Amino acid sequence: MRRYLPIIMMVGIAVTACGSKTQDAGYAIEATEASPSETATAPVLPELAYVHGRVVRGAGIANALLARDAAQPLNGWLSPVAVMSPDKSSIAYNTWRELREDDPAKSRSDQGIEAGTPLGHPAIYVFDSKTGQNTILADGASSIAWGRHGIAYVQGVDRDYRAGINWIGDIFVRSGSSSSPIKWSGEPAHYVAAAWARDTLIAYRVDPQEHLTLLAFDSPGKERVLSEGTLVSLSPDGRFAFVEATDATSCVYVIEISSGLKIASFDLRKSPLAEQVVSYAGSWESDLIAARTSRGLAVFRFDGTQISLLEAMDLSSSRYPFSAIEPHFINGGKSVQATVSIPSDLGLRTTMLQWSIGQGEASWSPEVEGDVHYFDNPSR
Amino acid sequence: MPRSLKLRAATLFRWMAALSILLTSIGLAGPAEAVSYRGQFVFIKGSTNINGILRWDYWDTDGDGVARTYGSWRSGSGSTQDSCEKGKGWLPSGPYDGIQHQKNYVGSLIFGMVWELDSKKCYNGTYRTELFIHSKQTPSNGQNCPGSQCWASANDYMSNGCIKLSSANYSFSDDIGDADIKSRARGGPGYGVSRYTNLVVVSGRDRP
Repeated sequence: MRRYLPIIMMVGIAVTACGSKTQDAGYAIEATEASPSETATAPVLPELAYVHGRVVRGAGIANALLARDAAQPLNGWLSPVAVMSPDKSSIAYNTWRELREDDPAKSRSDQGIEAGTPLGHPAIYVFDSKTGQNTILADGASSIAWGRHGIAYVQGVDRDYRAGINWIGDIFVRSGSSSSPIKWSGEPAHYVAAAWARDTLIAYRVDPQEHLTLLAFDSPGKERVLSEGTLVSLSPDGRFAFVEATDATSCVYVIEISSGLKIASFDLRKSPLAEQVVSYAGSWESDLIAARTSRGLAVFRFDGTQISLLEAMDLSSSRYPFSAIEPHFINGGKSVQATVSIPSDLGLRTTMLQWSIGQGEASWSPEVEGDVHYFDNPSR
Repeated sequence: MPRSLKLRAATLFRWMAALSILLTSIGLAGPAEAVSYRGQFVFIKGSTNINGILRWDYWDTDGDGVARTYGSWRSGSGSTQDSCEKGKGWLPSGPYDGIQHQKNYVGSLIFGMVWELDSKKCYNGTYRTELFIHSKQTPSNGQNCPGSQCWASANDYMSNGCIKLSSANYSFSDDIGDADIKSRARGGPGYGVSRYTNLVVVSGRDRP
């Protein structure tokens, strides 16, 4: 465990310029800077279940071995790589079979890769913890949301990802892993199934220039734009979405999903996060929201009418230039755990960060080779 | 050969030479010019997402092979510095092929002058896709303010990942138009859909 000093502590009034009703948001902010040593003195044991390659750790599932490495190269962490079923008996996970080596240090033409060459093949599998069996759910498919309404995923029009061709597909929903799929989307697009908010499916459409549009599907064929920006998290009751549009507006919002109305907003420009942007794939527990920022992590509070910034933490940019990914609450909301990528010429390594909110303390797990992905279920 | 025929041949040759010089001077002798130069954009990431540099490097394919620069412009990419963050991070470093170059592109979100780039994997294997070099302008390369076709401030250099150049508006110059003219004059791709090997090399910190 390592202590770090707060570098900013202030109380202020946020003046909103974010387009929702004006708020009088008195907030107490503690922005802190974490500079861990390479070997943490007391490595934390991850409390969250995660998958490392084919191996599942935690979640009370013993000896779970997946059919393939869990990976989602088409979507990054726009949606979880692996998702637990609502009854916690199964895990649905994305896989990727590389069909042709694609070295990012070279252009495609220098590698002799012509337009249309198959590069990879996505597929979604389900691991049943009762039987220990892995079965394929959808071949040529990517991204999963598993809620009480069923399993949503994106089925590629072409089952392979090909050089020079954008991967597009349709959103399908199955009531169970063995049920027939029903198409929910209209024209094929680069969709990403993100989460269920009760009976509404939240998804992204990735448009040219990788512009992300957040969509809500209320039923088959009934699609609407929920918001510009990206999804940080859904409220525990599934009524609200915490959305960031900080690239364009410097604002984060709480949006009522059924109506699409912004009911609260917060302008980062009036806060210690003024020079940063907030990112997607966070979590929400009770009235707290954890989010990734450009330089670390932040915890916001939503009291039902207003958003305030509770605390922010900067990671040391020299050691951890890529910030923390997929922050999740643990310890009943007292701490946040996240993964941190450490790329190097020797390959990718990952560590897990545990941050005690309000305590000025952070710990790091030992580094492991390769990528680590939490599997949880953001659907509500 | 009879003398009169020799004279006619010499006259014809002189006329052809003169015509060639004329065509070259007005830029219609494309094939001869295009094969003599080869070039590529070099995008150098800055300390922030909005202060990078894009330049056009070219070399004479029949000459000494030394790269020279013809045009350099402020540019931006992404809103964060994590090249794996889809829709937000700047581009992964490395060379990219061009897919198309259009002067009057009409997309759903971007318009006007564009170069479309191939996709590329970042450090953890995530593909960055749907990438362009573009600006904020109308399909006819003008401005329509306010909105997505209006270049209004330095924050417009931010993007979802693509490389962005300014359009002529407020105090900003028509950098994307200049990049088009200068790159085409020194071996860059003309308008249309065709692959251009190594159109852009992205350099700068991608790994610690």
